[in-house]
Amino acid sequence: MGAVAELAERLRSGAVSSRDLVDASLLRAEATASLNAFVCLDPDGARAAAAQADDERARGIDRGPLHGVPVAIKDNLHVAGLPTSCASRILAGFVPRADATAVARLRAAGAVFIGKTNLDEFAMGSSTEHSAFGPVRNPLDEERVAGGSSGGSAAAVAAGVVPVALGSDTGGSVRQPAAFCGVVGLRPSWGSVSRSGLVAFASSLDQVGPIAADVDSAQLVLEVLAGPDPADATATRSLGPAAEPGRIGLITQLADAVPPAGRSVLDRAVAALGGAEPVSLPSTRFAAPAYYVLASAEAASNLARFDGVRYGARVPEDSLAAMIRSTRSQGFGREVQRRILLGNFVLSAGHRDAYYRRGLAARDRLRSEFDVLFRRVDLLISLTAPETAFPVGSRPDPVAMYRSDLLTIPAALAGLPAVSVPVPGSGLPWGVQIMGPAGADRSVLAAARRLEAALG
Amino acid sequence: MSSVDPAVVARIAELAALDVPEADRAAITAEFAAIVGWIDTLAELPDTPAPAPPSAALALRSDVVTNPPGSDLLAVAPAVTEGRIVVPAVLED
Repeated sequence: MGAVAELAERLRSGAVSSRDLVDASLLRAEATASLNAFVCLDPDGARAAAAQADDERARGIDRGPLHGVPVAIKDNLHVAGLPTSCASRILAGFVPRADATAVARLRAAGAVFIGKTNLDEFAMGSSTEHSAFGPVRNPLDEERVAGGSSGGSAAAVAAGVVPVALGSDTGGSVRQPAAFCGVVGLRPSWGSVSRSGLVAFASSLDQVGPIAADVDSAQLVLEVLAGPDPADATATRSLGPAAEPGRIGLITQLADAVPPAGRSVLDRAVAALGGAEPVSLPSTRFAAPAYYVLASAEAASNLARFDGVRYGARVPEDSLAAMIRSTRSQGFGREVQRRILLGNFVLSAGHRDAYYRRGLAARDRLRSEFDVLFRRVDLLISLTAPETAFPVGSRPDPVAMYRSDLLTIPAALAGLPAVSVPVPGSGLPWGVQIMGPAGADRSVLAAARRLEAALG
Repeated sequence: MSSVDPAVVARIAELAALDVPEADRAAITAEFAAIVGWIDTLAELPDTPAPAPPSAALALRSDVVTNPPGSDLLAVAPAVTEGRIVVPAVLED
């Protein structure tokens, strides 16, 4: 039984109250404040929701599998009545009026929200250092990053503040911080979980996913999140049956991209799953550049709406054009501006064919190669990141940061479900990633569960 | 392949509605050139078009417009008067 189901069981049996759990969660958040995992805590709202959960329980009402369980939410997902900042100055003062669909589903299943977690501004980053609220620190070594962009959610789970938190994964933002913090991170199939109320970064890639203490807890939350939503036309995919892990392929290009220490971790994981056959994904080398072209192009469009007119902060100027330019220039941080500039560049006249169209072609090629592989094997395995958590402030070069996403990007570009399972060891944890065909989420989780049990 | 110079950065910044201050222009241009140099890897992509991948197909359900109430939209705007969002004048008197 996973940590979440265990807590739910103790709540159901009356061994513990939701008030107790929420108090313990808030105390733990305060005791680990140096991690900077939260941009806002909601002690009053959480205690009131916990009291209501306990009262309902006393009256025989069971809201569902999360009834009374404390949960944290990445601050790019709307929780009605709490500010959504996206860790950006440009959203200062913005308070959404409605829950994101993912949040509403957790709430309906009984979850109690204790606060919003820190992230790279607008989820653009791989270290949670690009936040207007400052970097998130790794609970296992505070000199190191927690990964990103869902670094606050991963740190909150790893530090024992909550058993599960929501993150979002555009190019690896759930899986890589989970790997760096030694917890489980799941990117569901694109199209299986509604993104309504998730602040859009790159819509063809964005996906909401859980970060949890264990695979069972991640799956429990996925089952609550998944399903069609009238507010998101793309939420149409099912999670598929939970087939027992069959043939597993080891993508040689991804295996060869990691240092020897990582390779031995990967070999251990492969052995724990009973072996894997080497397979080739030739377009791997184009994946990260294609991702940065496509994600930045979509970000340039999605973030055009932040203009100081309709929401968030406004820098007053005499003309509308100057107001928009000043608001955006002062409101967006350096990394977000870099991506918006890149997105405008790859879409601009004279560059569109060389970059944007080629990025789309690279994605098609990669998808076709995955389709071919999934006729030979059921699942694929790689490390989640080519490294363990690196020191805060040690990676100022944007291209070096972008390149480090090479293992999480292929599944994101192809819309595949992928889960990162931590590999315990003597030093900082590594993460191993299991990928499957779109719509095979439960099979991916079944293999992850077997890997988790074998690695102990 | 594309060369990036300060004029290109200035033009892109204009499209993006962002200011690139004169003092930062050289540093941002150098950084931008390095990123463009990296994404130029895509120039090596084979020209033969890949077959359309069946996995890319995603059935969309029909779109249904459900706008939130206007009061919700106005409630989050930075400046509102008499049920309207306020912006600096666009047209001359």
